[in-house]
Parts: sequence; structure tokens; C-alpha cells
Amino acid sequence: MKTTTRKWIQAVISPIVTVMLAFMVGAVLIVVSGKSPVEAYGALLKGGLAGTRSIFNTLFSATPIILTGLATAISFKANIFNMGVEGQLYMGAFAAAYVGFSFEGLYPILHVTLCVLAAMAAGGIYALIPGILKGYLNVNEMVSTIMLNYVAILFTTHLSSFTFKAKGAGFAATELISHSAFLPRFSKISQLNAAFLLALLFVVLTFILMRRVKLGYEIEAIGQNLEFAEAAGMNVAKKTVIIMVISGMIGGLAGAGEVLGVHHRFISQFSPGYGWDGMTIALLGKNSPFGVLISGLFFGLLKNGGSTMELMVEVPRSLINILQGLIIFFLAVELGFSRLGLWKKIRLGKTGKVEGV
Amino acid sequence: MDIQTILHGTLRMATPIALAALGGLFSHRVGVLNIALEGMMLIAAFTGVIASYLTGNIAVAILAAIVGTSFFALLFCFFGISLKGNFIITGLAVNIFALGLTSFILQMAFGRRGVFADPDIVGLGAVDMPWLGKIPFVGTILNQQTPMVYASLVLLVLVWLVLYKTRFGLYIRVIGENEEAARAVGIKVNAYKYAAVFISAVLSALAGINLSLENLSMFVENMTNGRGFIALAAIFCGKGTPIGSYIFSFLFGFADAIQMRLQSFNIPGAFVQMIPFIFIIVILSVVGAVKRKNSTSRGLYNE
Amino acid sequence: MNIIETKQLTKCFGGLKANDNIDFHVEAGEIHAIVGENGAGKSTLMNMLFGLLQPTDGELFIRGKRVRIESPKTAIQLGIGMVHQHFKLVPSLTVVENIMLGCEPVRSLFIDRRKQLETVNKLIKDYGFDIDAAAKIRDVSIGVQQRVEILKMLNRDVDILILDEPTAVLTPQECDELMRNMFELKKKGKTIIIITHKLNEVKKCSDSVTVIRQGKVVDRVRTCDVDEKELARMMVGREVLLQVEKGSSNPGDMVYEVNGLCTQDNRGVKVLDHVSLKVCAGEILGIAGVEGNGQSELVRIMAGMMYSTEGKIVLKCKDITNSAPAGIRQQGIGIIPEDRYKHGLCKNMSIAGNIIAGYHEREPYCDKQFLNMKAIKDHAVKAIACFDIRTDSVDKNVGNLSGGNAQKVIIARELSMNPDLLIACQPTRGVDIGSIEFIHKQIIGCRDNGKAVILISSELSEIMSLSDRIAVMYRGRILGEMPRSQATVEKLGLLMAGITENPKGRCKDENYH
Repeated sequence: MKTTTRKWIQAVISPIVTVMLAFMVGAVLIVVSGKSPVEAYGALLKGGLAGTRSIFNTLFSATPIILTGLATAISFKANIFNMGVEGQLYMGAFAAAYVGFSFEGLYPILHVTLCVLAAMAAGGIYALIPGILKGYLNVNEMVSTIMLNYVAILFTTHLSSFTFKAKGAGFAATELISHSAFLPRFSKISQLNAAFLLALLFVVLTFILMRRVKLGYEIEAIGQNLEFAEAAGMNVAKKTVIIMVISGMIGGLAGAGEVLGVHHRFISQFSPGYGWDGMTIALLGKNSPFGVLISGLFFGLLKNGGSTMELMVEVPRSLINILQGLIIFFLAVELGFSRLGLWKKIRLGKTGKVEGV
Repeated sequence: MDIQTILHGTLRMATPIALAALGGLFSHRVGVLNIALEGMMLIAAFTGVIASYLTGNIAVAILAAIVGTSFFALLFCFFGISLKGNFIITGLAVNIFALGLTSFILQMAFGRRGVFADPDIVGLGAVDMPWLGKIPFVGTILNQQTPMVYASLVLLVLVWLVLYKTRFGLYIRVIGENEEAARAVGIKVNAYKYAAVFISAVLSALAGINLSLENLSMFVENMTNGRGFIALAAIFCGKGTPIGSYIFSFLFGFADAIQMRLQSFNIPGAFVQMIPFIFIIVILSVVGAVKRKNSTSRGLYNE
Repeated sequence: MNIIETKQLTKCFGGLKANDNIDFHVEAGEIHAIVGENGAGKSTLMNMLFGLLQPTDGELFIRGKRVRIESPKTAIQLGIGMVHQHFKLVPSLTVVENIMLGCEPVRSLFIDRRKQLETVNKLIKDYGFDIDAAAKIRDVSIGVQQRVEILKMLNRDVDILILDEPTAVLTPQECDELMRNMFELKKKGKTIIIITHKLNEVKKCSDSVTVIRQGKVVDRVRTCDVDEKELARMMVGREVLLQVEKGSSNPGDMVYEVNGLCTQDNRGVKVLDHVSLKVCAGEILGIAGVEGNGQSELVRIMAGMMYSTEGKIVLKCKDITNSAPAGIRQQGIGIIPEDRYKHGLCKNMSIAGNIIAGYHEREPYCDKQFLNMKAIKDHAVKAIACFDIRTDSVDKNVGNLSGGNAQKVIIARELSMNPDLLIACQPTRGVDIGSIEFIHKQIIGCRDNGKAVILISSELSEIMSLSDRIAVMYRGRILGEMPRSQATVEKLGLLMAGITENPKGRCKDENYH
């Protein structure tokens, strides 16, 4: 079998197997709680796919996580573990809201663009800190970005609870952004909005980055072999910062999408963990842009279907989190598959590595 | 508020972090990056509360918490060590799984969302030992603490002894430093890795109990709120040594404890709450800068 | 009596037969050598004897009894000990702790430190090794580390000692010391198996030899019955040119000069001490020396991967001290790094991707941030043809190539950029003989084209066959320099061991163990 065909099959089948395994375990949990998995999964699929409204809602649920997935994937590919997309998303969201409510009467396209740019700048700058710390001081980026997540959440919560709290609002949120900053919705039946198009655009841009742009080559080199990258003349410190900033920018964009297209204001702690979801789908999509797109759509389906499932069959939405965790566990198995040579047993013939000969 | 009250609060707030760090450092020394400390603490907090609610017995609650974290530790080890999966991925999985499972069970089995508080939940209160209280200065700090606080101090000594004076501890250190050398003399590397993760599971369980059953008597969704990651940071900053990790846990507890005090100075609560997190970043930056100064290599790798 | 015997022993890794029906035996009390090229299967065979690998097929007999060796522990119980080429020691622990690792005496839950020290000191005395038991492994020399490894095995009462490429890291004098130790052990009744590719050593110390080629046993002979040429022929299967053909050099202007270079490692220990050298166009400067005497650091500084604390580097009258790797390439210096998989290649990238590494910002490969995939592919195809890289596709991952072919990718990459100076560090380590011949020809070709070459190698034979001038490094200093015509193995060996000739007689370096 040709190497490329086998690679393709491996790339597609393993995630599918992974997901099926997770669903099976989830089914067990559903049975244990006294419900029918068939009904539950049925409601899940119906909620996600049956009818235009469902599909629109699925795409809608997928939008923010595709973006956070891209943000995560770009940094993970370079072996930089940016766990701070959640925080970058919040900073971007607030920046978008601020520019959104601070100006009025601008041309919509201009206003939206300004908001988006502000969001990307905020997310990028926020990612600059851990980026510089890692590049020049070798500070573990996992720890620093996770810490900064909490800082960002605290900071934006404060801003939306006090400094910029909307007058007369009963909960912590800023005032509404001007209508000129709204991202248009596709139709009245769903909250799906133009942010989805932005997500698609960035999937394509990321693909171009990885395959055709010099930085993409460098990301791969840095991710595969750091010392090689340094020896090949890449200023790894500088690239680390650049990669983190790009990652942060896209994270900020995800936040902007939510503010400009969905809530139309900044609501304190609005994100149910889009950043962590992004991580899951980046891993599932193997850090490739189209992998992220497909995984993102799939998770959008899960989330959207999840609420239907909860409504109709009374299986809690948190099952989706469980499925997520299981999928990630089984992703590790998938790595285990190749090491244990299980592929050999499926007669696809893999040449083994020669050790110590 | 005098210094003793602050230190008393510090010790109290540092304990869950210290417990998780003391356990986690075994994992760190053996070369297994355990970012699942957060998830394990949460599971322990949850299981402890449920068990206490169902049986009214603290001992059972503690045991249940340990069983709960051990189960996840087993998953983590199996996927990460035996199947050679990526520890970051498996650790992440445990954390997400923990969040989801606790929510799921809470809703399905107990019909509640977000918080589980009930008069039937039995907690652990502060212990008053008058003879302890009589010791000058430290007396008031050490007295009237909950059992887990004392446990953490005892464990500090135990962990130090085990790590540096026993064969087990020696092998853990050797595996982390040079796994090949350990294998070459027949040390069962995987067994020790499993053991290390289990130790962190047990101590994380104690930390979780401290959170849900000692200071409060309830379970709140996501009540760990980053403490598992702070414990991880404490391990990093303390270079995986028991004393170092404890000191940093103590420092973070300090940051937590002075929150109240600072709030009375009209500093907004949010900013005070940020202090521990920013503190960690500052420490790591300083450590990094010092290392950089002594380094002649260009770039990020360790040569 | 045969203390070790294998019948039809086979080991497969996937589709690859690393050991193919090996019939092999060692007599009790002899010193037996196993020779073969890199990749022939020597280490695989020994790893099976030591329980690090399990045979796919065949039988293993120790002292006449059929056995299964499941792990190093089993092997040691059977009396088999192994000292690996890359030592398996723990740097932060002491000699005592390393020797006793895995069998520490315990007293009421804690390790009995006193008893440990006693046991080890006795061991050191019994075998007459010269080691400081309390020293930390990271502070002692490689020769001492090797002795610690040997003692580690002797402590476990092994009768059979397997040494894997033991002299790779020793000076000629330390090699002699090792051989003396081996004869002592033989007198004490131990059996020794030595894996090596150095044929002169085989002649010097072994009683019999097994030659392995491509996983199969070629022959088993008594050492006194063969000579080195014969052994080489058996190893490779054809006549081998042990000396490369080379015309005389025609040195031109000075191209590159290093002056008073100093640097230290991350612990502040000085590893380069005022190193100065120069090389002219059209000549090969060979830097000899045992590994670990500062060569790695010198190359890393020249490649821009490490900073110097003092000193200057000048290329064609331009000061390039502490330039970054990118700048160094721009100035026209090509580098073949010591560890090809660490610094030279990216295993999971294609040949095409690797062939532009370091030059990927140049036209035509890159134009305003965008990569020109066609230009890159064309370059790769040309390189494969010109540099005899055996592969069926440009897109194949470099990790799937053999050591020799992977090295050729690096050489193709650097030489096709036409550098003014080529720095080649251990260019033929772990490479098959056919590729070695090719690489040597390339290096000489580079010189004949008027380029300057700095060759750093711990293989004295390589230095002597390629260099026009030879310098010797010892403990971070250049201890001596001479034209090739004046160099002999003895002279170089002394310098490599830190012994400089002195009008008053020999002065021995105090730190030399």
C-alpha cells in the first residue's frame, strides 16, 4: 500500500474509531443513569442535523471553537503549549465590546473591522507576555498561560462588573454595542452569524500559512526538532513570540465573534470553556487546519445536539464534557496503536524502527 | 489583623496546594508531567462530599476520595505510561472528564446543579489543642487548624524521608534523571511511575477533602479554581524538592490570605485575587532569568 | 567449553531482519571480538544477550543450558554484564551510588550508606581500579566513568562482561589501560566480549573474532590467523580502501581565524581555554582529540549555537564573533554537525524540507515569505542525484534513511551552497563504509576546489588520512599543531592524552586518571 494512502487512512480512520469508542463508553453511562442511549444519541443527532435550524445552530456552536482550535493548533504544531486561548479570547472579546460601544454612527463595515482588529490586537498583546517569557526566559508556557487565563477572567469580570457596567443591568455586563458593530445574522431562525464566515476564512489562511508560507515551515521545524531549528538559523526566540502572538490574535478573534455576533455586549464569564474545547479539537484534528474544521463542526454538532438531548431525554449536557474527555483519552490510545504495532495486525505492514543495531 | 492571624490564614490556604504539590512532586521527579492534579482534586472534593452525605462518616469520605482519585490515576497511567500516550493530552482529558463527570453525576443522581450543600454532609472542623496554643508565637498559628493542615506538615517530613533516604525515593529520582540507567540495572521503571502517580492521587485526594469538607461543607462546581495548576507551579518553582515545593505553596497561601486584608484598602477584589497567579509568573520569570544569565547556549534547549 | 552459544538466533524489527540465523559461540575465559560495520547487527545481538531485546527466533545457551533472557536482571543473574557505549550512569549521584544502584543495602527502611561505601571500596581495591568512590559522576572523566560501569557489573558477580565500543571515548593511552584491565580480568577467569569496529584493537587484544555483515555471521576466526585487511574484507564483502587517495594541498590565503576563544558551560566550568587556530583556502585542518575535550563546544561556537566569553573569530578579515547561525551561513560557512539527528536534520520532515534548512530564506526557495515549492523540489532532486542519496522519493522522511544517506543529505545541503569554509564534525560517525568513502571524497573535493575545511574527528585514522595540518585538543586547549608529514599516531596520542614534550622530560597532566 502506498505510504500516502496509508497515511490518509490512518489520519481519517483513527479519529473515527476514537470517537466511536467514546460514544460506546458514554452509552454505558447513559444506561447506568436509567436512560436509553439510542434515544439520547438519537436526540443528539436530531438536534444537531435535522432541519435547517438545527444545522444553522450546529454551525453556530462550531464557530468559536473552530477559531480557538485554529489558535491552539498553530501553537501546538510548534510544540508551544498555549493553554491560554481562553484568556486571549476574553481580552479580545472585551476589546471588541469596548470599540463596539464607544463609537456610534460609523459605517458598519468600518466599525466591525475596527472591533475585529482591536480584538485581535488585544488577544495578540496578551499572548505576547507568555510568548516573550518563553522565548527569552524559558518560562514554561503551560503554567504561565493557565495563570494568565485566570487573570484575564478576573480582569474582564471586574471591568464588566464595575468600570464599564451597563447602567441598570441586573448582571455583570457592559452596555450594548452600537448597531453598526453588529455582525449580521444569516437568518431569524438561528444565531448563526458572519463570524462563521470569518472562521472559514481563517481556516483557509491557516492552511496557506502552514503549507506555503516560510513561517509555516519554521513552525514545523520548531515543533519537530527545536535544536535543529535553531541550528538552521531560525531565531527560535523571536519565532516563539510571533507564533504566540498569532495564536493570541486568533483567540481574540474568537472572542470578538461572540461579542459582535451573539451577545452584542461583553458579558462577564460568558465563555463555557471555548478555549479548552479548542484544545480538544486541535488535538483531534491533529493540528491541521482542515482537521480542526471537521472536528470543530463535529463538536458543534455535539454541543448543539447536547442541549436538545438534555431537553428531550433529560440526559445532562455535561455528558458532552465526558465524551470530550473520553475522546481525548482515546486519542492517546490512537498514539498507542502505532507504537504497539496494532497497525501491523491490521495487515497494513509498517516498517519498524531499527533499534541499536 | 496581626501577623499571626495572617500566618494562620496562610497555613490554612496553603494546605490544599501543599498537599497536592507534595504528592505531585513524586510524579514530577519520575518524569511524568501530571497536569491532572486539578482534576484529581476536584474529583476528590466531589467524592468526599457525596460519600459524607451518604454515610455521614468522615473516614469513609476520605477513603472514597482516595478511591475516586486512584481510579483516575489508573486511567491516566494506563493511557499515559502503558500505552505511551502523551501526558499532556491524558492529563487534559482527566481534567475535562472530571468537570463533566462531577456535573453529570450531580445532576443525574442528586438533581442539583452547580452547588451541593446539605445539612447531612458531615465536615471536618478545626481542632483545638491548648497545649499547642501555648507555644510562643507559632502556637497561635499552628493551633485551631483542621486535620489536613497537620497532615500536610507531617507529610512534608515523610515525603522528605522517603525521597532522600529510601530505595524507593532513590529510584524515583534516578528514573527521572536517567531512565536508561534505571532500566539497565533492572529497575521496573513503569511500576515506579505508576506508584508515583498514585502517591500524587492520594495526596490530591487529601487536598480535595480539605477544600470541600474542611473549610466548607459543600461541593461547588469547579471549586478547585486553578489550585491544581498552582500546585504544579509550586513544584516547578521548588524544583521538585519537598521543602521547596512546600515553601512556594506557603507563599501562594500567603498571597491568598492577604486578600481579605488588601480588600479593606479599597483595592478591588479582582486584583487581589489575581495576585497569586501573577506571583507565580513573576517567580518563574526570575528563575528563568537567573538560568539564562549563566547559560552560554543560544536558544531554548537545555544544553 | 562454550560459555555462550546461540543457534539460529534471529531478531526482526517489522520487516527488517537485524539478526539473521546467527550461530555464534564464545569459549569460557577468552576475549572474543565481534566486528562489523555500523548497522551490521552487532549491538542487536549483544542486546539480546543482555535481555534488552527478545529474540524473534532461535535458541540461546549459557553454560550449555538453554535459557530465555527476559531482562537485564535475568542476564545479570546468569552472570552476564554489559557496559554500553553510552554509559547508563546517573550524573548527580556518586560513584558508590551508581555502582550499588539496584542492590543497595537497607537497614530498617533506609539505605545503609556506610555499608555501601565499604562494599564499593573493597571492590575497587580487589580489582585494582583507581577511583575516588565519593566523587559525583558528572565530575569525573570518561575513562573513570567507564571503569565505574565495569565495576557496576563486577559488583553483581558477573563472569561474562560485554563491552560495547569501549574505546570510542578513550585516548590511545586510556585504551592501553583498558586493555591491561581486560587482561587482568581474563586472568581472574572472566570471559570478555568486545564489540568494536576498530580492527587494530581486535588484533591487539582478542583471542578470536566473529565477523557480522548485514545481520549474518560471515565467519568466526582465531585472531592470530587473520590480519586487518582480511577482517575489513570480511566486514564489507569486497576490497576496502583503508586509505583515501589524495593529492597534495595547495593552500591559498587565510580564510578563517579563531583567536583566544574561551567559553564555559552552564555550570561555569571553563570548557574552552584560549583556543586559537587558522585555516587557509585549499587546505584541510584536522582537529584530533578524544571526545569530551572541548571539540563539541568549539564547533557549537563556530556554528553560532553557543556564546564565547572571550576571543575573536574572523572570516576573511570580517569579525564574526558570536554571530547567530543565520549570519554564519550568510557569510559562507557550511556546517556538518556532530549529531546529525539533533542539529542537522529533522527526522519527520521530507528530504526536500531538510535540504533547504538553513537556506530556506534565500531565493529561489523563498520569495517575500512564500515558499517556492517547485524550486525546492528541483533542488532536492538534483541533490539526490549528485550526492548518491539512496532513496526512491524526495518526499520520503529523512528518518527513514540509513545513517549514511542521512549524512549525505546534510553534505548535499551544505556543499551545494558553495561555502568558503566547511566545518565537518564527526562526519562519518555511524556511517557505512561505502558512504564513508564517498564522504571522504567529497571533503577532499571541497578542498581541491579551493575551499577551506576544518575537520573534527575522534577517529585518528580519519584525521590522519584527510588532513593537511593537524591540531590536537585536550581539555579545551590546543595542545599542539603540526603538518601531516610530521604527525605520527604516537605523537598525536601523547598530545591527546595531555602529555606535552618538555625539555626536562615528560610532564604528566595532574588531572589525568
